[in-house]
Amino acid sequence: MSSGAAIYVVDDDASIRRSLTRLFRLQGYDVQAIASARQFLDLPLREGPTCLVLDIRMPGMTGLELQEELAGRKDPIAIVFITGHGTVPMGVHAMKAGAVDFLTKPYRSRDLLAAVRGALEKNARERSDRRDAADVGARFATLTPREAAVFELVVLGRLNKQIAGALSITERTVKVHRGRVMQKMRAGSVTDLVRFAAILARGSSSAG
Amino acid sequence: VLLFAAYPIVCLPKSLNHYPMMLLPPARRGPGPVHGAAGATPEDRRELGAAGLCVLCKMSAREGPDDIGRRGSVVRIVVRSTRVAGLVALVMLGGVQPPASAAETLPERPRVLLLYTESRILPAIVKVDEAIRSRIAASGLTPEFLTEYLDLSWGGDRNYPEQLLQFLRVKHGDRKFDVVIAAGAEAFRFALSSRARLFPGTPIVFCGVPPGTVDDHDLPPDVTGVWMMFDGASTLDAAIRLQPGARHVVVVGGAAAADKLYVRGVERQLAGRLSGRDVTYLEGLTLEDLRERLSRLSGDTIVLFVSIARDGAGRVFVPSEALRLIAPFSRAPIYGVADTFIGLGIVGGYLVNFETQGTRAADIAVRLLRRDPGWRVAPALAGNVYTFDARQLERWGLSEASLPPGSVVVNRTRSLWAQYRWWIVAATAMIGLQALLIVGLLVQRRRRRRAETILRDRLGFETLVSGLTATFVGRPGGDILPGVQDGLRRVGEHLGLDRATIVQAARQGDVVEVVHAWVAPGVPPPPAPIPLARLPWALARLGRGEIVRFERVSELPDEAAVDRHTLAMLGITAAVSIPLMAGGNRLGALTLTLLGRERAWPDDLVERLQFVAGIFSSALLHYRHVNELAMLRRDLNHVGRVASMGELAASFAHELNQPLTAILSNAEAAEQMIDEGIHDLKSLREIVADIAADDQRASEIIRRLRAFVKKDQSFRAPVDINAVIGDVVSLLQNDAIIHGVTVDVDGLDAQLPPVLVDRVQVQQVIVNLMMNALEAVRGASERRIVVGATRADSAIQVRVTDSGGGIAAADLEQIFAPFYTTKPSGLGMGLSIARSLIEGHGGRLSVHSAPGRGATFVLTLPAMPRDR
Repeated sequence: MSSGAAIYVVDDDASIRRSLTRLFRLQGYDVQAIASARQFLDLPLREGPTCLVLDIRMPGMTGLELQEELAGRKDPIAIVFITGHGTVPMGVHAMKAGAVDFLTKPYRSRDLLAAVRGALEKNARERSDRRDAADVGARFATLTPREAAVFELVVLGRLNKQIAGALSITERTVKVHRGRVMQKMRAGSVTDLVRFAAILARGSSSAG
Repeated sequence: VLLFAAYPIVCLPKSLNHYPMMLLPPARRGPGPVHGAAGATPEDRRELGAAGLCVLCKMSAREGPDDIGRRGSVVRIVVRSTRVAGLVALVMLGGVQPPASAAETLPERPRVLLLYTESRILPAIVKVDEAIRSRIAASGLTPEFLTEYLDLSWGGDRNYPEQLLQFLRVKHGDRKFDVVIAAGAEAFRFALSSRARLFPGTPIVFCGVPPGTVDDHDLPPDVTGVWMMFDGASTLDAAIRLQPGARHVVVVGGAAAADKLYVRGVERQLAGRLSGRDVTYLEGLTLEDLRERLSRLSGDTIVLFVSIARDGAGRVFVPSEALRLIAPFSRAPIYGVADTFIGLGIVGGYLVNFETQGTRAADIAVRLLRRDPGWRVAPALAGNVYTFDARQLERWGLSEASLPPGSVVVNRTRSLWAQYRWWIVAATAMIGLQALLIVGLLVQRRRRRRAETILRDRLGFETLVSGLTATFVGRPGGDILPGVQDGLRRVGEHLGLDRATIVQAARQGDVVEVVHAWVAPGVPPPPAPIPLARLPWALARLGRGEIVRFERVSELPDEAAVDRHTLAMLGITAAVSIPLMAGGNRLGALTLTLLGRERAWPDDLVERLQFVAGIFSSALLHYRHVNELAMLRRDLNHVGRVASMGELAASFAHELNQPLTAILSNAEAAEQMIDEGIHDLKSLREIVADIAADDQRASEIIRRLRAFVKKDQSFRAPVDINAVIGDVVSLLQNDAIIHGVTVDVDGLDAQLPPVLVDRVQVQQVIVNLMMNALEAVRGASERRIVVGATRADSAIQVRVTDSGGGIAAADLEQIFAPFYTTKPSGLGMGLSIARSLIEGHGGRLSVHSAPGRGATFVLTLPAMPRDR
């Protein structure tokens, strides 16, 4: 199905690991089961969409602690929590921290599979977004300051005449800059420029 | 006389407690005590030396020893030895008078003529004379005294005064006198009438003269003195104060002219003062008649003795002597008019004080001799003194409190009783106490002997009782029943019984049954349970707490007919049954029976048996308590476990969730494989095997849970303590994870010998300790629990150490006490139960802790010998 996608199971209970590994394999996923959070942190992860099926209560580092640890990483990992004794505040905390789902044991297989599927899709999207943001950022970096200023005003929907007024240059010069911006940003239309601006804004906010 | 005058004379009162006052003149005798000779002034010493008088009683040295009896209260000691006298004088006077210098010119001695109406032996005259002489001597003058006792009232011949005058003229010749002191009315009259011929120009000082007996309006200016009054009125007033209920007044007087004169004076005074009392004058009677009349008086009479110088028979008396002769016959108190009567039978009165008369006259004479013009004062009345005789007051039962203010009470020498009252009381009390003590000791000795006899009698029984008591004392709960058995045997053998039993009404069924029994050899065993209805009378009595006893069945009353029949069937011929009660519990009855024999149960035996029954009662009650306690402890353990169970519920749920989740997951995987037509039998087999294993795991969890809360009897078996610790740690692992606590199993000795314990109980204790540790590390910076087991000699020690805040020293003492808890929601039973469980295994549970450094609980259990 989603070939290339990897699922990691982190649970201290061997039975759970066995049963989950079996379940995900049967669905064609690439599964790796690990007994503790620490081991997972040391594991070299594969490229591609990744989902972590994580038990909250474990000796040593808990699932929530692992989630915090992973939040700072470059490559996002989608997390589905499974817990034997979940509480509402715990669930809220996990979801706010970016978890895709929060299931209590015993869960039905289809629910878990749906959650994992959603998580992988979300992760794939996030990964491509992140990739796009990197490209757009690289292109944006080639603009001169004047071109960047024109880019910002165009994205804000200003007319050439208005831009010329704002920057104290001629309308004609504005047109020249605008053409360069479209070219450097590889934008086919103003709509493309607005989309790039959104990606840039997201990237800058996530970086900040 | 010279001898007596030379030495001080001291009259020692019989009661020596007057001793310190002895050396002081009357004027200085105040109410408070005065101590020693140091209190005597030089004046006092001169008075003593010159007058030769005892300071206290003023008795003249010249009076003979026969006066002692009359002055009954004093014993005269005349110091005759010069040496002793000097010593006494030294001691008493505080020094010796230095002798007068020989070179000193003697002053001209004034000459004083003393005239007395009567003979010198009259007490009144003695008193006046002594007063005059001592007073003048005290002034420092040393006159030459010439004394004439005129005996005027006794003179038989009317020419006597004239003859006397002639005699005195012859006697004194041209002798000049500086002053004439006349004492008494007759002497004064004689002095006035004979003055011109005997001592012309010589001033006259008088005393002892009642006003009216001379013509006082016509006295020459160089004649003055002191009037004397027999004050019948004031005396009567005082008598009425003492005898307010008196109805009659009797005035006693003599036949002499002076007597009559005095009585008339008194009669005048009494007028208007009697307040309705009748007054009788007994005058001119013979003393015999007077005695007779006085002896017929009623008690509510006041007798006023005025004077008897001569009685109806013409006998002449000193009035005080006449008083002495009649006074004992009076049935009513006698009062008098002069202080010379004191001590002779009168209660007292407002009495002429002859000493005062003499003193006043002497004072005038001293002034005169010193040529002090102030001597010419008008004659004045010398105040009388309310004087009373303490012994007479006591004799008539008159109260001193009723005396007029300022009264002088003399003769206070009290009776032995009055004087030594407190000594006597104290001595009597002492003697009484001694007697009591002796009686008490005798009684005690008798009692002791009796007690000894009884003790001997009972010694055998006491031995039995002490044996019984020893049987029960210190016996653990489980050994009580054999003790009861043994006790019954002792009682049975001691009393020679056939059966000694304890019977109880059965809890179920209407029967009474023998629950403990001793049976003599050869005697059939106790009967099977007997329906209550078969012994209605006896059981009713026992039910009321009464004792049932009979010497033979036939003595049972008619209403016990059913009982009699039953007993006959059982073969019981004599029995006593004593209810066993303790602490309000009915514990059955101690029943002693004989088969085929009769036996009396005397009261004292039954009494002792009640005591024995008491011992059995407390033993049975103790047994019941021990049983109840064991049950209670079992219940409490259960409660404790259930409480832990509640706390552990989340943990159990989580643990159970894991296999269930795995099972579900596996089952769904298998379902999917089948649905999708994947015929991978190997995989399916694996799935089924996993499901079975997880199911196994789930049921193991449930088994553990059930075992943990199961309320059952203790079951001990050899247990591997390491396995128990492993179980507990896995049971609590989830909890530890929840709380972010690291649980380390450390130092488990794989070679530990097994312990013989109830696995569930020990597990419960370790769970308890672990849960406490989890609780303790909550909130601590380092959350770590270490559990381990090691061998220590013949014991195994399990340690649970936490990294929490530790236990305060004050709590350390308390944490094993029931219901003690530091947790807001704790029951306070955990550690209390834990300790009792471990102690039940012969082990120990202790704790070491330092605040801030965590706590270590050490559970010690005896190890099983390896070679078993």
